[in-house]
Amino acid sequence: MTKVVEMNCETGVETVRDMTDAEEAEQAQMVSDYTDEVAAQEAADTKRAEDKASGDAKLKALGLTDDEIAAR
Amino acid sequence: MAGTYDFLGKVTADGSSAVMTLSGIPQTHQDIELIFQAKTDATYGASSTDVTLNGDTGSNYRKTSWGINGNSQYGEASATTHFDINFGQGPGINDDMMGFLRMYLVNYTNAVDHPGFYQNSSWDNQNTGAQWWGGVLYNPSSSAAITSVTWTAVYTIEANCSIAAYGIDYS
Repeated sequence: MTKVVEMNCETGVETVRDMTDAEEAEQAQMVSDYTDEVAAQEAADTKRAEDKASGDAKLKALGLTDDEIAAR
Repeated sequence: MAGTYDFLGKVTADGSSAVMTLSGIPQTHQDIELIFQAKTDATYGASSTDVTLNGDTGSNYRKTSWGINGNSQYGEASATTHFDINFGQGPGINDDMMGFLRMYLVNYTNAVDHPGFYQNSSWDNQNTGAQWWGGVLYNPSSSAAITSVTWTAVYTIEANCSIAAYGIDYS
């Protein structure tokens, strides 16, 4: 069971307890959302890298040097 | 009256929790600053953070931000049930990440609108880090003092991570 740690500023008492069902459901949703975000981020990064490599190759085929491609 | 910046309280993770709450925040100042310190050894920004106030999970949180994560730049606007600090706490695919989030909210006592700003930075053990800046607004349906702040993470929060609150008076 995942825990919740809470500090009350007024009393100075820190408690550790099990998550409630509602808290557990909220965190499960967060994990699901986060997994989707990571997948989307990975896909975007991969596409960007592939597009750059493809574009660089086409520029090189036109006769540009590596320095000219890097300077764009 | 001279301005003041006073420590109000701090909660520290013990390594067993995915949720941390700082409650009973004293209603003694005009503004409040919240400092989050995060670290994880899990992959993909595991300390990703949802921040809620007063245990409120209504659609009362707005955030406009821009930032850089590794070599990519982003801008976003959201109106959701929490302040979503995802990716800001972990910049890439590598593990052993650490991060810092600073959120400043004005009028934290007895107001409907609690506007503010945030800034966060993170680093992992190989990539350049992530940096985010933005404006935030906590806007419950009626006047409410901010009495607690909660950090919900995707994974277990490492021991010694923390949320600290500071109160500010300036007039």
